[in-house]
Amino acid sequence: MNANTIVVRREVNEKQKIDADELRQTFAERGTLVVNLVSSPGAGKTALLEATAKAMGDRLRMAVLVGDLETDRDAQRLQPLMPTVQLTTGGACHLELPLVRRGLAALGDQPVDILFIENVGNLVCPASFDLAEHVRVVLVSTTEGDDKPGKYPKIIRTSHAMVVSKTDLLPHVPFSVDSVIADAERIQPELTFHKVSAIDGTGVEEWCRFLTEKHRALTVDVREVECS
Amino acid sequence: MHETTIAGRLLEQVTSICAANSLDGAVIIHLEVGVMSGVESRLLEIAFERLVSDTNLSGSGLAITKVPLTGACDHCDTTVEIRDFNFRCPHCREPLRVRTGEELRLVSITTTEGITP
Repeated sequence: MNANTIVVRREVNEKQKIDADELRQTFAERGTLVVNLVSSPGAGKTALLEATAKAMGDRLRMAVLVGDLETDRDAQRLQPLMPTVQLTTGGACHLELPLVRRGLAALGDQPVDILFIENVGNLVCPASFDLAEHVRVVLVSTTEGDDKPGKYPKIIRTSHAMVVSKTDLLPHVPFSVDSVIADAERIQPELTFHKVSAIDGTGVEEWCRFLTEKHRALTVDVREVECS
Repeated sequence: MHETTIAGRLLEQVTSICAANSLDGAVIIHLEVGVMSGVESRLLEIAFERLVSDTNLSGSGLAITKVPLTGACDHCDTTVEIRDFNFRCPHCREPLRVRTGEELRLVSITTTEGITP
């Protein structure tokens, strides 16, 4: 036997992590907060973006890259509210950084304060792909059941904030907000929670304050780095 | 199935390492896969075997070591195994710092050169 061993000890996703970190830094220097929205299909990502644009479109410049397997239906809804680029994955179950870069090229050089990336509706695969976002937000809607955080721990673990959406339906569905929060908080103690109804507007103002604060913190951080 | 994407990245790394070391033919690729890596080991193996079959490394396979999820509590100065995805210290409830279990690491490549089947 004449076996040879080459020792490597390197993360398989190391190159992609470096790429994402560089792009994240570039966004920060431009004053653009990048928010990656993830959820199961139909949890209300597009509705949340519509409500967000209506609530603070006059204060902050927003844009969105919309990921879907097929069609541009979400892009058509968002186009009247903010610059929108549809990313069609052609069947792939998640977005990856090269496709996001193509979307950025299509968006052009216009100044953006908050860039949303609406991921493909899927609680599994998007968890493993860094899209150079500063904030990952996972939506869990009241209609999909309060057992989701424990069933999809990776997406919860890698998120920074959770939106409990469709709260207007709470009187009609067996869903405990407290139990979702307790479950998710065990998996990711740093999560912030936002209870929102895009239909009746409950919680939209608080959610917008959260985004505004994140954007402000990002631009302050960059200025501090420049001064030091 | 995002394991196909990951298998492609792995194959790219392995191909360039093997080329740099003038290796071709079947090799064994040793990986450490954390239980919270987001990758299903069996799906990764299937995707990798399919991708590698069209290359000069055809016949290569993965040898996967599963890595448990462990975390350190800075407050109690202990390391514990994280069970049921509870990322708080079982003693003091402070958030744990993950030590192992999130990795997807290419550890080494073993050549089978010279081994007669």
